[in-house]
Amino acid sequence: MTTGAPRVVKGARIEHVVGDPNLGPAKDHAYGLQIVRGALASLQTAVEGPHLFDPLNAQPAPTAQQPA
Amino acid sequence: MNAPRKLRVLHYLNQFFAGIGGEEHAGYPAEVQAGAIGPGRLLATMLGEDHAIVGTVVCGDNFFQEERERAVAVLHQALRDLKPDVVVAGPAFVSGRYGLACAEVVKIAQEAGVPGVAGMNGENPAVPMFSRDIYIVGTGPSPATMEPALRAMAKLVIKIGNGDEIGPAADEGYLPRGSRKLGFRDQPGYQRAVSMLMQKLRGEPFASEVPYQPVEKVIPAAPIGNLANATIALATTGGLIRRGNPDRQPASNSRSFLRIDVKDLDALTPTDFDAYHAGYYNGIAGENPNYILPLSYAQELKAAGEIGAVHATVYALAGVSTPVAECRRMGAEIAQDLVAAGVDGCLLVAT
Repeated sequence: MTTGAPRVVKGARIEHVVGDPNLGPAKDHAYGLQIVRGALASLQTAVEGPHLFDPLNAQPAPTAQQPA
Repeated sequence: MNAPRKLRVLHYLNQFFAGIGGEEHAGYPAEVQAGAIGPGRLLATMLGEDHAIVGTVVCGDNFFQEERERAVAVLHQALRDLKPDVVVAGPAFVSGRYGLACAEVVKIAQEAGVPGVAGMNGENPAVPMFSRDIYIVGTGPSPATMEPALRAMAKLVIKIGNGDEIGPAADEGYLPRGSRKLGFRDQPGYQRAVSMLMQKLRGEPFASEVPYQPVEKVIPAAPIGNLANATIALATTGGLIRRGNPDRQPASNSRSFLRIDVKDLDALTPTDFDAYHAGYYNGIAGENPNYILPLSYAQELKAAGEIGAVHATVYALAGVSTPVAECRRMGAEIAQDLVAAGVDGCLLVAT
């Protein structure tokens, strides 16, 4: 956020950003998909400055709506 | 501090400032002329009667680069014959070849035991290459600023020639060299901080002890209207590499990024890819590189029609200890690729 990047999406951990091997294959896959979908949703969201998106607490994929 | 003495100064000028001619004479062979010429005359008056410019090495900018050995031989001969106490080169302002020659001349003289000063603008390409090795006085961009440039150079020439202790860059008028010297300040830090705050609150000028670079204001790109039609690109600073690192990517301090063609790949496999990044444990991403570049998920979403296409090229580097200027440059290059390819959005995974 402090770099000025406008859309920042929360991932899992540094060592495994998109998913979590500790969850087992099925839940890992679901988690990874949720993160990527959350990231894509952020691309559809208008932002005015650095904004943190949390895929685990996201609204359904919007089309060009303002962030909450 | 040594007792001041009458200094013998050797000046270095290119073909233009020596009055030979312009670019067409850039091949002018190196030679030594007696005394001061061109801007050297003004420099000589600034140095005052106590010091003398005993000679000027004149060399075409191309000759110095292309016939370096011969040019250096002339310089060494001048150092032997004229026995200067200090060498001064330029000012070169923003001229790249001239700046490089000035810097090298001072460096070579230094190695031969004669201290020196070069003058050029802070943006001259020679500066990042030589600022740590030699003293470079920062000048304006054009010869219109010759007088203040020579004045600043003269001051430093005298100090260096006398073997005086040279203080911090800001005080002495040279470009920061990246070296630190320990010292004591008059007041403890908390008092200096409060004084600085009072100055700021009063609207008075103050000098930050640590240079502050404000966060760059980035204008966010407009949101993607129709994701199902969008081409999405993937990038990572997690140090994705081809397994075995045939591209010889570094694990830190990256100066270049990889372009990897993923057109026919459904996912990144550990047989073909790996993670190589000095800032985190690479084992997990090495077993499943999609953790740091989610190609598998992107392809899945494309197959499901949620996105239109996955851009055929992914971008990778190890983003640790990367100089900010390099980050900016690489980011701009990647963005250029994406814009040229008509990509709509990009997901960059950072570790």
